[in-house]
Amino acid sequence: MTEERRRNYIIVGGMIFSAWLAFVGGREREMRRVGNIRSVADSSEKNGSVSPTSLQLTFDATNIADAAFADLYEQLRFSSRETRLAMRERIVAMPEGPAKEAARFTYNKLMVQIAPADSANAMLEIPNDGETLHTIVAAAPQSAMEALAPMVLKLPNTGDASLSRGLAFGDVMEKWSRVDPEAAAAFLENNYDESDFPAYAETVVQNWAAVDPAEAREWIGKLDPSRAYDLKAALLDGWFERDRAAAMDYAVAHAGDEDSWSANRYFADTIFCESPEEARAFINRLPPDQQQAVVEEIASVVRGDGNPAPRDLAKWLMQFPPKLWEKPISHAVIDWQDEDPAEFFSWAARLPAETQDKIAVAFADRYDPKPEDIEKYISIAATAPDPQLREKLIYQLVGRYGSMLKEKRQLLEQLPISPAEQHALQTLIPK
Amino acid sequence: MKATQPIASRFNRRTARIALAGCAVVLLLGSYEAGRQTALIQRARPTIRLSERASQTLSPTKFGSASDTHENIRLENLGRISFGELYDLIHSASPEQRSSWAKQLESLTGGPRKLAATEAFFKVLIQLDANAAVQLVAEITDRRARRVAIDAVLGAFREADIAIVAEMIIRLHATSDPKTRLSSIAREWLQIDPAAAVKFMERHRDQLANDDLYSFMWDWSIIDPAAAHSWFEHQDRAQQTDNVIRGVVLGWYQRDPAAAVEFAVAHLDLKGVRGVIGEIANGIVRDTSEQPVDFINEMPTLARNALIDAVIQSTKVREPSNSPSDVARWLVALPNSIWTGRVAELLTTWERKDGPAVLSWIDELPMEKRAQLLTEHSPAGEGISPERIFELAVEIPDHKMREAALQKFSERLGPTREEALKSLQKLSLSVAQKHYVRSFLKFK
Repeated sequence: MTEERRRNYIIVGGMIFSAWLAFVGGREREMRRVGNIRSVADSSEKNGSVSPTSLQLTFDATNIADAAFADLYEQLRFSSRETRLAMRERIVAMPEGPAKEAARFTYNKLMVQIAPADSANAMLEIPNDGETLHTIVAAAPQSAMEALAPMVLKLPNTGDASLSRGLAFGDVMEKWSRVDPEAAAAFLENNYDESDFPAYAETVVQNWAAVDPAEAREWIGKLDPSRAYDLKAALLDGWFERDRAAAMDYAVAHAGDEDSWSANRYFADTIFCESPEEARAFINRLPPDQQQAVVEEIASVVRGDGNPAPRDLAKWLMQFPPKLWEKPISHAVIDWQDEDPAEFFSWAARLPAETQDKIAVAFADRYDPKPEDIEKYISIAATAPDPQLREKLIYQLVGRYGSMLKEKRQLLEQLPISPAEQHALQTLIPK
Repeated sequence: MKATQPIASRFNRRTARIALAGCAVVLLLGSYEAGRQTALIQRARPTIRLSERASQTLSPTKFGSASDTHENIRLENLGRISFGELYDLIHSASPEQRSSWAKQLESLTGGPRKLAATEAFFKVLIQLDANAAVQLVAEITDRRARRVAIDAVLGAFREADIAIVAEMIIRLHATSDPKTRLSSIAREWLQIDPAAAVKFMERHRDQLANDDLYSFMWDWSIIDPAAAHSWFEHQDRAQQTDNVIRGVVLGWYQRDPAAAVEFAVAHLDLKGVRGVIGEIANGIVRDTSEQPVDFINEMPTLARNALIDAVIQSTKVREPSNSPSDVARWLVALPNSIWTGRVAELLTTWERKDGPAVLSWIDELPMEKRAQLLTEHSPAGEGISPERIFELAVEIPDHKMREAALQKFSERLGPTREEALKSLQKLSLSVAQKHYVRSFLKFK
């Protein structure tokens, strides 16, 4: 071999060796970048400890809340279980405060996406921590529901844990049944006793009917009648979301069924919250004996945040024949008078005499009042600017609660009404 | 010619060395990059395998494999693939592509697959690009799909993006989704960044629903009662609304019941406070087993009386949290000194609903309780035998208490002397007993 040829071999060999080193270097760098830390964790484990400080991550457990999701996810998605546990231990050891809470939320949300089975198992360690259970379920991907549902049912059903368990299971069923109602329903059926079936079947049926009313109905039809009890309202509510007209037609067509009485009452609430006009049309199609119950239900239940103002409820009720509204309207009338007496009095003053009489009766329909309450209501009625309305309101109160006013006759003398009317009122108070 | 030969040879050799060095550099760089790519492929391999399996089972077309382009994706399958696959897909897409997918998702036929895909998509997107996610959620017109997308956002957002999510809630609450509430994230926010959460609440206070404001204060009072309390005290009177004080008191109550009740009693002049005290009292009655009597015993008298009055008043509504009988049983089980002078109204309410139950309960009370109770109130009305009440009164061993009980008994016979005498005559008592009762009739 000539000197020159030998030199060429050395050069080529050196180049190949350098290329191999470059290849390994590039591979190692990339592996390290994506968080290939399994070997580190394994070696730590062999040494008998999992030291969080040995994690070769570009962030620390204490500041994971600030990390960009892509970095965090890329680094942890293929990490070992030991690495994740070490991270959790590090978070648990952090001093109490906002930073720890942020790390805890981040960790729980992330882990159920990376390793749902591990998160499901971890739930068993925190039966009383309703907040963390909720965080895990809310962040979980759909595919995790099948693993989470049985795990939640393994949580203890006693004391405070019972509440956490119930709420977490409700979260699971809500999310699961939205996107896979059939599987959620089957799970409920197969775990009838442990799952408190009646409490969650409504959620499942409602979500199912919102996407496939026919299948939801079929499932209810196959259930033992004792299990299907009270699911009709949920079916109608969900169905209404998908096809309003079809749901209402079905409710009307089955108004004679045994379970329709209560179902239609709840269903009417749902319709009313969406569209008072449609609710009115629906009620008008029901048999007369159900109309009264449905109107009463709406008048007593539909109150509070996000619902129609009392004035609107009162006006809506009065679109029906008086026999349907004259009793239930008292809720709306009393709330309206509480909220805005001037507006209420002005509206009532403009009503026809006969209608005004009924409103005065509703105004006086108070539940179990004390004498001082009656005194207060009379003082409020006395502020009505319209003399005719004022007299009617006071008459109704004194007529109904006169027996409570025996010691307060002098109150009537101070009212802004004529002496003749005062005398007439005195006769309403028993001696 | 001979002279030029070595020069040319030297020149060629130099060129060859330069070329060789160039090749070496290219080879090194190429090897380095090849090493990186090997790692990337190795990392992506499990994902690709999963994608292929998912696409085989879900649809005849390929989904998510490395050879796919973004245009070939079947969006309705998004809900059925793993989070990792979806992450890879969305992470690698441009903002325009993500936006286009969101619109395509909405155009899918309604059903569970659409909802699953929508949820899965937004769950990833909110973590990758919160601003884009909340913008796209607001653009969804299908109400059910929007609801699912909102829940995905609320469930998976990064803590650093919580303010963006809060702004989304306020916007949706005011427009398309009035039932969307800040309360779904308020507790989390108050734990990770209380100052920012409170500032946000103050800025948007007028836009929050009443129950949302209540819920915010409730959460805050549980997490940091001192801060919530101090904030409340610095508010104008007009800002100390029912919902605010209700949240402060009831939240605080979870941490320090006695302090919360004292605080409420100190603010009895505020509208709604009595109702809050009633709620607390009813909770105590319901959870008697969990609320040691010591808590009631050790409360300052003013606070305790307010609590007892509230619980008694709350039995008079149409649908009380606790029935008069529950409240009576709870109250009378406390030391006599606590309920003395406060039980008559409650028993009147109960006996109007169920007289015989009142009588049989009194019958079963230990003498020490029964005697004290009959000096406070003598039951009367439908189903209550006056003769039995008389018997119970005369059985009281203590002379003074017995006379006080008989005094109460005689007062319930009638509102006037004539009516009382008439009632007394009708009772199945001996002449001597009637004479004795008559001695207690005192009318002005």
